[in-house]
Amino acid sequence: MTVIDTSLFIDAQRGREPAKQKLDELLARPEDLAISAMTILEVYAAPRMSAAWARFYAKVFEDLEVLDLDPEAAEDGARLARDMARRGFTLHNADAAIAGCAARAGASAIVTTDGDFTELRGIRVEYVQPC
Amino acid sequence: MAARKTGDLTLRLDKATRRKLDKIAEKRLGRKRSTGTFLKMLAVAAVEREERSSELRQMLRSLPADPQAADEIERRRREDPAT
Repeated sequence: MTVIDTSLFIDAQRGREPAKQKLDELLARPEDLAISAMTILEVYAAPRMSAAWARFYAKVFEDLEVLDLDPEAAEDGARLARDMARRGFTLHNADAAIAGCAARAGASAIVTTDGDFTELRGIRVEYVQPC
Repeated sequence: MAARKTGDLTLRLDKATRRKLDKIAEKRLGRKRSTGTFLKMLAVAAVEREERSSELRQMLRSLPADPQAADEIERRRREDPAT
């Protein structure tokens, strides 16, 4: 299973081609994809959204597997963030939550356009250059 | 006169293939199901997956950029403290 980080959606929404292409490629096999519940929170917290993107997100969140941010996933995310902090890197809490969900679910990779993820250890990160 | 089509689909399987399918069906479903039923379930699931995928990709390809909302999502996630 591959977990899509929120950043890939953000860059696709900005109209950036590499992110849009990667998302399109991933959506060819939706049964192998998952998102974290944190991504739903991040996307829906935006005060404004075009109707077309709102419909797209609703469909994505309905069709893809959603990984819960349960206590185990939160602990895994905290562990990954601590490991990065010890090596001098930072991981925002939302990113740590997504990484924790992915780690707990035994995901094979996280796909992201966020460079912060590239320093994660213990989970494969596929970094997509945003532009 | 052409043979009348029935609503049933007939698949001819050799014994080994049938045994293999029955085993997979029992493993996946946790109970015995006829080979035909299992194959139909697989076919329906595959078609549904394909439909889901093509609908999502079609939607994505036709979406106009919405940079303001995207920037807002990004801004909020960067305001979030780092651990």
